[in-house]
Amino acid sequence: MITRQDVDNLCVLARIGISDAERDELTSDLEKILEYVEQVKSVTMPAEGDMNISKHISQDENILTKNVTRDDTDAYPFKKYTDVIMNALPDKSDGYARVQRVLGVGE
Amino acid sequence: MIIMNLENLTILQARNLLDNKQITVRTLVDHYRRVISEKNHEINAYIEIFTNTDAEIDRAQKMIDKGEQKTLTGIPYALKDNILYKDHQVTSASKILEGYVASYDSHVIECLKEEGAIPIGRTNMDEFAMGSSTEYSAYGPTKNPLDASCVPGGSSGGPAAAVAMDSCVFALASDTAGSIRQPASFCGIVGLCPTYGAVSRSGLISLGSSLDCIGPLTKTTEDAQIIYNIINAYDYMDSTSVPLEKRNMQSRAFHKPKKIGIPREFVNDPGISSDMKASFDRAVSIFIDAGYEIVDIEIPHIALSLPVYYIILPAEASSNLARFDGVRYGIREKGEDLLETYIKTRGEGFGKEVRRRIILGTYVLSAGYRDSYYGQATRLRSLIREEFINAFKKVDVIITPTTSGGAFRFGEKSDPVAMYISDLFTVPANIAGIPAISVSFGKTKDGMPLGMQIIASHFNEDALFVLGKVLEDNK
Repeated sequence: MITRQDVDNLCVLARIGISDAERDELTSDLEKILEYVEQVKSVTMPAEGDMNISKHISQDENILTKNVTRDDTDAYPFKKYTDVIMNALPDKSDGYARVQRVLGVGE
Repeated sequence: MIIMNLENLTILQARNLLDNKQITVRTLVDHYRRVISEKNHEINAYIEIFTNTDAEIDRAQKMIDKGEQKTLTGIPYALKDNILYKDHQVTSASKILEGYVASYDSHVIECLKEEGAIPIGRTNMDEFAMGSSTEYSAYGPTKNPLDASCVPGGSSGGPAAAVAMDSCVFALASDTAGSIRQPASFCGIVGLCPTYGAVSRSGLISLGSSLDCIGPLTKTTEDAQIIYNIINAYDYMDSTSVPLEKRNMQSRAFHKPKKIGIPREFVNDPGISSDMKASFDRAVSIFIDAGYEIVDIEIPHIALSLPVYYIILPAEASSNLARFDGVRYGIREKGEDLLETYIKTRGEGFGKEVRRRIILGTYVLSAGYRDSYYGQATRLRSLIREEFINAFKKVDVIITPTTSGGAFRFGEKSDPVAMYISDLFTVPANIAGIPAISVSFGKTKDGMPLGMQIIASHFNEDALFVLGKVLEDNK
């Protein structure tokens, strides 16, 4: 059972603002979706440790990159991508991303 | 002047015209731009037409003139709006990425640039690939070119409509639960979702990272095979890309497929339309006539793939989409402080379905629910994958309908669960990481196309192409 308070809490956690009307709609939608996915609980499964759930979906062995220095670390000269990435920022100043104040509101 | 018929060109037909100098690259590009300007205002397949590709066009023509052309040199194609093409806008059809310009090329674009193929435009989709109808786009819905009162499917409705309205030779898109195959089926074309890890995801805007695959939408199975062979490559920029030498160990050496499995209980789903049932039975009889052996198989938990997906996908999406915060990309809706800026930017920048799935993902990952939802779904996913691997010890491929029926009408599936269920037949392949193709076959009583889905084991795409061609030859 999902309450409107639950939806409010989730919206804060997910950093998403919604209107009052959408909150009501979302509460009933989530209820329906959760009722649908609830089916997964009907299957008794071995405990997590008994199944190799971390392996690659198309491989029987772990092929993830090893935690070692890659041989292309020198491939990107210093600041090569700085400008192009800075260009994407919605608000910037002197090479920094500018944001609203973080502390001191409502105190 | 010779009037050339440029209708419904396949890759090899376009290749011949270009190589025999019956047509130039520029004439071919101009032809497709003309088709777009005639049809796009009604269909809304394209978000942007690329007009600054002169250098690519000239380079391709030079390659051909020097006899140095490759398979795709000079061939125009469309892109889904979630694949990065350097110095061009890319938005995942979301308001939150309005104005964002790709800072690098995706790996698939690098592969196609190497070939000298010509990107003609970026096409519409459900926002962040969340949807099955292209109704959830910030740029308005795309219409089905075969009947504008019907949806083209989704989330790759734009790329599928672009190919179906004959405004390009092929399109590149992504498939997370059926987003290539379902629109291919609704628009009467071919769509391939490759093995997970076969095609690099580098430069694809992530939805569900353990499920997303890039693949082609084409007019024929042969074209899908051609594109697959070009984009199927190892890439160190994608940590889940499988090195080529490991793929051969994994997949059985290719042999001509002989046995076809049907998960009988699954395909007897009561929601399946009578048109689709009849077409599926006809497809089966074609395979029997062509000498294939049909075997009924059981994949006991296959029907749970969809509920498993609607836990894993929102969980991964809620994490992937956390990066869109109004600080680094796209738009910002200013608040009093940083927290309020996040909340306003994400509340207003994301559309309704995206907000719904992020909040669902936040719920299934939250303290107290993580194991019963996400943990259980991940374990079931492993079980379904094992069940498929076991099934492929008995049969070479599996066939199912691609969807339960033809393209539905706009607004027909307003309930979220009803919309989700349209991925019932396509999602198991993504859950197991195995390749699947949808080939256009049969029609509804209203004359709309239907699609048959062929599924193979990991890295056995070749078997899909063999069987796809059998269906095409017997349409």
